[in-house]
Amino acid sequence: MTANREAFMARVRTALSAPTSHGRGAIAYAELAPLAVAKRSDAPLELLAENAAALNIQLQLAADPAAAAALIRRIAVETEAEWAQQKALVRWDDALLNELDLETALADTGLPLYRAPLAAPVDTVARDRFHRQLRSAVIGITSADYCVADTATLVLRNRPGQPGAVSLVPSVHVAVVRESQVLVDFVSLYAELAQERRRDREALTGRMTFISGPSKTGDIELVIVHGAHGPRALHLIVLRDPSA
Amino acid sequence: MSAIRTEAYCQAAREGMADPVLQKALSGFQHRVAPATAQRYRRHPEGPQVRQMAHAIRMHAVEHLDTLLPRLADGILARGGQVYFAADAQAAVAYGLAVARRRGVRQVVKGKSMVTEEIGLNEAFQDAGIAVVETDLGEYILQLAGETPSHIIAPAIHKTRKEVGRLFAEKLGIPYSEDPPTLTQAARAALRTQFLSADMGVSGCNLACAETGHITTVSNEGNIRMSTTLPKVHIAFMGMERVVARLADHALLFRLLSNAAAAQKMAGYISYIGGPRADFQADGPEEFHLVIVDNGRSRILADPEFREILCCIRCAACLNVCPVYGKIGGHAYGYAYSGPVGAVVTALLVGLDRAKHLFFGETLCGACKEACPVEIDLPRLLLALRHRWAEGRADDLFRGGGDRLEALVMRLWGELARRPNLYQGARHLAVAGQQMLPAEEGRITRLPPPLHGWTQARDLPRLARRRFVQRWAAEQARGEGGR
Repeated sequence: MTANREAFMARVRTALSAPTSHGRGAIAYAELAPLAVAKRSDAPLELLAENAAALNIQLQLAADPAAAAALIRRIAVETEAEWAQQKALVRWDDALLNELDLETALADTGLPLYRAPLAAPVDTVARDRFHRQLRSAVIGITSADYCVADTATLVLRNRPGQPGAVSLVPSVHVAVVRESQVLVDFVSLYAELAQERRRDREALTGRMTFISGPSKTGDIELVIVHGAHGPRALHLIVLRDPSA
Repeated sequence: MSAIRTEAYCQAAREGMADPVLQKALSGFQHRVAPATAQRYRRHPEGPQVRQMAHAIRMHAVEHLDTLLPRLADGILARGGQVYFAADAQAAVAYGLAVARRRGVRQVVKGKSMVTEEIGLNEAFQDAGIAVVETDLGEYILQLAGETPSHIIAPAIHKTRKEVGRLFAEKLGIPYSEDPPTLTQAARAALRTQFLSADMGVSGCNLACAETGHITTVSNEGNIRMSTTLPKVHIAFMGMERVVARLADHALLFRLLSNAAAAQKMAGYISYIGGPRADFQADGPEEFHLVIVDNGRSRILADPEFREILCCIRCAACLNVCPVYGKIGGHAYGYAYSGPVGAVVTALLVGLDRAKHLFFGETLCGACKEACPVEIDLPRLLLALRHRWAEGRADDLFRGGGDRLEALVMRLWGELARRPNLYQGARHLAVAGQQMLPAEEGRITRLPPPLHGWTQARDLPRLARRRFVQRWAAEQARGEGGR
């Protein structure tokens, strides 16, 4: 395997030994950093609302955790089952979602609410159980690390208790973010990620996912249809900062 | 798809032009997507130089592959992933098959990937008795129909909803419908079973990041996330040029890629994948393999004139504006890559002589360069290919055979041009001779063989009775007389 990599890279090095002036653009790579322009916004939530609407994301604001839990309860009651008769929910096991106390909020509905395994390492028994729950769930609930207003993008990373599949396999995805996690645009997002990487080189983790809207396709005569393979709907709940 | 049908370009192009369904689909698609993409380009805060900035990022990456690829590979190895450097299509396919056999794989789910079309992965897997299911809805439709993609991003644009309805009724056993949501739901249900039971997922890679050691995949449907999350093994294939140096480079390129590919502000899903699942993870594959494919790319890299084409990010924006692609469709290009980029890349991968029709067929109108999110000078590359082919020999993939007749005509012309008397004699002969050729409104409509090809689709202006120098002198004399 190593020999093969060496031979491959030797070919690349030889190929690059010939300099070329063809394809030189007007700007050099070294000059790029100062040219990157971050958008500014006095009202990122309004920007987010506008872009979320364009992507068919159901955006709702919640004044406090209890209000957010009530919104999720309502979504759970209103959403129709797709793959299993019994409607079930699966959620991340993380600080923000724990704060919502969804177990109490959903208690009277009788709907099962599963939690992704938190204890590491995840053994085979826990993994198999999680996969069964995941397949049967109609709603997957996650938080997110960031939400980018300009593109209505959620940024999720895999950590203990936070498997990305919760945002993918169930029919409907509900994401909860704090207002303070809303960034204006992609340039700011990558600046934050770079900052994080300076503190921890593995800050991105092995799996990071950007989600902008529910699953969609236009492959049949360009007609946009939601719910191609992933969630057919995406609900985004922004928890207002206490000061607001 | 690894079958090369570039020699059949002229025949396939005629068939495409004669297909009314294709004509309607192509024109509808181009009219919808191309202007919307152009509008998106104008809305970036970086201003009109945004595509030049993207060009700088890509060219820098291509010229630093010697450091970026090892960095990418080491990042993935450090997380427990495996990296294989494949010199050619055979090596890449063999590696994939070896992994599949070792893991006893029976069924594979696949996200859309151009490089796997290029190396012919599906055929090899199927020959080995392993079922491969394409999961992108467009690709899935084509696989059921036994056809190949005709567009990089919208592979099934040549299929109408009625055709898809009949196909699904036959193959999926659902009642006939021509309602896209109903048809999509049928595919969603059929493919979900596949995602949940497949042993292996195969994906491509949009733009890896060397600094952090991740590949990235981009989709709107979520099929690639499914294919790379649920099965126990994930193999990603990437052309060796599909990498950038720094994480921040993605901030610009993902915006432009989304604009260019589907006139979106941002694609639905972008995933960074840097290895197999960690032991704290409840999901994700046990094994992750990255296959970095050369397959002729180092030869392109070594050629100063053509290196620039390796900046391409396979967004298909050039297809969406190309007047030639818009008439003949993607199948005419006879290989995985179609449109202006296909005319360049295919020729460089399969050889100039086999693919000469592709680069001679484009118009050099320049629309592709304006539409390219990384501002690749496609017209320059097309011209360079024509030049290389005309001048070249047939003994090297990058050289062509040239056209003997054309070479002869050019040599005769050279001789004539150096001898004014002979030239004038030949001109007088031609002026007299052209009277015998069929003409309409003063233009020749049909040249005799072997030059008849030139007048097949256009008329030739007649040679003027009086030469320009004579007319000029006469005009001057008249002008002075009038003063």
